[in-house]
Amino acid sequence: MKQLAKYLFLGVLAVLALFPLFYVVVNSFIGSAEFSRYYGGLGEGLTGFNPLRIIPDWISAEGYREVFYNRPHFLMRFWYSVFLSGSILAGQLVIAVLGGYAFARFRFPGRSVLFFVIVLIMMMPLQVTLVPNLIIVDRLGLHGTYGALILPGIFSAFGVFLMRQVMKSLPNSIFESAKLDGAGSFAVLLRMCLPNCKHGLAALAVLNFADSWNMVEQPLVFLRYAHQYPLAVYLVGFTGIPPEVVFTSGLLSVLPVLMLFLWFKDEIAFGMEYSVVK
Amino acid sequence: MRILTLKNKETFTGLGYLALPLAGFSLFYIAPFFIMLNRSVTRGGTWIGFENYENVLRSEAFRLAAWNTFRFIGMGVPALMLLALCAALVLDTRARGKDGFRAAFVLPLVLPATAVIMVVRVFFDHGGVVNYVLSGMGRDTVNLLGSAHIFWVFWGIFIWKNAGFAIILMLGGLLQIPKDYHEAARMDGANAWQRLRKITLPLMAPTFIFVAILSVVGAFKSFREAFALGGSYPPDGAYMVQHFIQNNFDRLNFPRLSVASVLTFIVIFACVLVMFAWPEESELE
Repeated sequence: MKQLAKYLFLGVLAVLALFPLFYVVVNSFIGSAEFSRYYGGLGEGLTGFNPLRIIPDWISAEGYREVFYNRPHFLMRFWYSVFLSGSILAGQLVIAVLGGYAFARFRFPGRSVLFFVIVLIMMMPLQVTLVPNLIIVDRLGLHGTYGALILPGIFSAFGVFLMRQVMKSLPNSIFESAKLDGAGSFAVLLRMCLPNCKHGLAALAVLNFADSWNMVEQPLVFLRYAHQYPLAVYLVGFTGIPPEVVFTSGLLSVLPVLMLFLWFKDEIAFGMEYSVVK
Repeated sequence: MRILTLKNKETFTGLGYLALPLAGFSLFYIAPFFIMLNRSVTRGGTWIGFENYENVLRSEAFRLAAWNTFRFIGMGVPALMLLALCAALVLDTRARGKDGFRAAFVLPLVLPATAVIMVVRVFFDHGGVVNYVLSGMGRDTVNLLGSAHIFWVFWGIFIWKNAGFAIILMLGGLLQIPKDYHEAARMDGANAWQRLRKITLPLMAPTFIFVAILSVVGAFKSFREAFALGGSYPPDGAYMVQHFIQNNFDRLNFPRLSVASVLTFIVIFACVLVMFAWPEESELE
């Protein structure tokens, strides 16, 4: 009985968590005829109501054909997003590792004040930091270029925070033994510390990639022309577009993040779990 | 003497590793923050005192936004933490398929706002599933996205998105509690409820602070979904500080924008200060 309640609770939560993705997948295979039959009432006020379509009457690849053959924008923007998120991730990993290592394994005056500043920056809503970022991006002459998105993105405080937690949770013995062998601090970082933080790095990589993949406000502010916008901005602006295209491109836009997530799913959970450890 | 040099060396190396990150944070966040601070108390280069602050604090829009943001975090973060704690406690009892559940719970965090919004619309739009069910039962329909109810839709999206993250952090905290504490208490005849109250909850205090910080970060981030769903001017009940800043940004009203940002900064600063001041319990030191 107790067991049943336990799994019922967990099961309900899991269904809630997974349902939207499942729903998008299913709907990406529904054709336009079926959409107009069943989704007629959406966004049109009181006229009609929509039942939930979980099993399509007919599996159709209409949406996919439309996206791949008739909307070249989509694939172009897809690659813009890959380039942007990839660049930000590469830089962010370096900054997070350096910063996390300094905070976790060294003592120096002002350490707690500086860490306090990092937490503060991390907690600021995007809307508060957007303007300071814009001021600098403008002065550096980067306004309107992808550099304006990549550079501030690389310096994300969350990464430093997470890596500091993960590196702090490593047992001291790892570091002591390396020090006794006379290894320098950088050698310790590369040979002892990083191999033991793989889970933390994986968690950071997935979370950071998803974050920059999904960014909307920054491109709108830092870029000048609509043709430069990455995928997420393009999709948010979707209006008056046939539903089969909306669902299909929605699903395709989730795929890179989803693949990364599935590839690292155990490391992510593990990495986050250990970030709490002292 | 020897110890002193060792210490100096550590300072030097530590700051060396920090140099590059610190340079970036100073350039992109700290320096421009002071520029913004300066703009909030000057006009055309001359000092005007707190005139802009008075204007903003007096404005209806800002008060509404501040109250709603406060309400959103006040109702969202504790609910999220309670749910996460319950789920973590259940998962911690060696549930089968623990890894699978964990992964499933985190998935919402990485889904893009667009995909989420599509599904939310299908359910909560005026012609959506919820009203379909209501009208099927012969009840009046509810305008969920066009009225103050949208606040609770935002609230639901926030919980849904961040639950997995919070659950995993809570699990991490539970893992740290030595198993023999519970064993010893059980031997002394403490029941499950007593063990939860006397052992688990007190020892989880640092984790709670940690989860609270990251939940607030998540609460601010869920503005993206709110904006995609409700636009620049959602119904009054859901108008947040971020809407206020964003709208002043679009209107290029920099004085108001700077003031709102500085005020938000001050509130967050105070909160973080309190959390850092938690002496032995805080994990941050």
